[in-house]
Amino acid sequence: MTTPAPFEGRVDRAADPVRVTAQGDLDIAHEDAVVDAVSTAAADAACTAVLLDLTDVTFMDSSGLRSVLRAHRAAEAAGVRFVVGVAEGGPVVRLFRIAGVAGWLDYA
Amino acid sequence: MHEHLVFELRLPARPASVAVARALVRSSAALTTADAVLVELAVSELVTNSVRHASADTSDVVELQLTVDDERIVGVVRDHGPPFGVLQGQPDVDNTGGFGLYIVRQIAELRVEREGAGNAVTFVVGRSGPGNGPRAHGAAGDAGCACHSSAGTGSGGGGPT
Repeated sequence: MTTPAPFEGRVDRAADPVRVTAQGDLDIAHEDAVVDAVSTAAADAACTAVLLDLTDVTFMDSSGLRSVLRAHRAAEAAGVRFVVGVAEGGPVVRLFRIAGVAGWLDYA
Repeated sequence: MHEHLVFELRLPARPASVAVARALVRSSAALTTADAVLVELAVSELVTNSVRHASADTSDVVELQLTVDDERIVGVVRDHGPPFGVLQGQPDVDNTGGFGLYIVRQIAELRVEREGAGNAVTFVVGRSGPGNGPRAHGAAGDAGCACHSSAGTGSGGGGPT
């Protein structure tokens, strides 16, 4: 059996915008981790923008999509600009298009 | 038309089980890469749906069956949860729930039925063109290989729940 790509999240507070990187499979098991990472970064008074980097996400379903939309909402509530980084032709863009949400987000 | 069982799987109704179900789809020699991408997404959505709606009982399980024939791939996910409906139309930006079944309906036929004290959710995906044979890896690439797997309730991995 193929081993699922393990999920990994990283935060770079020294970057501008603050970069939250998600790698691996983004599903129900990791939905809250992404939201928490973005919310925490956006809560920093010095933070004006957050980039959620999904370039290396290997799989995303509606739980992953929900994490992105919740993170977007949390950043906006904190008055912080929210952009996502995606790989054209990758699983994230494919899911955004299937779900019809590609136009809901700003891209890096 | 020959129908083949790809696998049957019983999993604990917890979040880590979703990745286990996907991994079995990914590794199936009976599916082309193009078909596996769609089936993996449908399986992930429907197992997730069952996990979200499962009872609080930690012994609750989700069952997944996948079969293929010459023209289509049929998946059935069974749970013991309460009945649920399927939203008509696309969820909106202010309602981040409801995307799972919507997504499945974009890529497959979807049928939700009440079965005893639980739900039986069936998806059907048409197989990709005749030029796309089974993937090269696996048991000699035999599309008829019925890899009858059975993961017990203790094998769902150790991820967060």
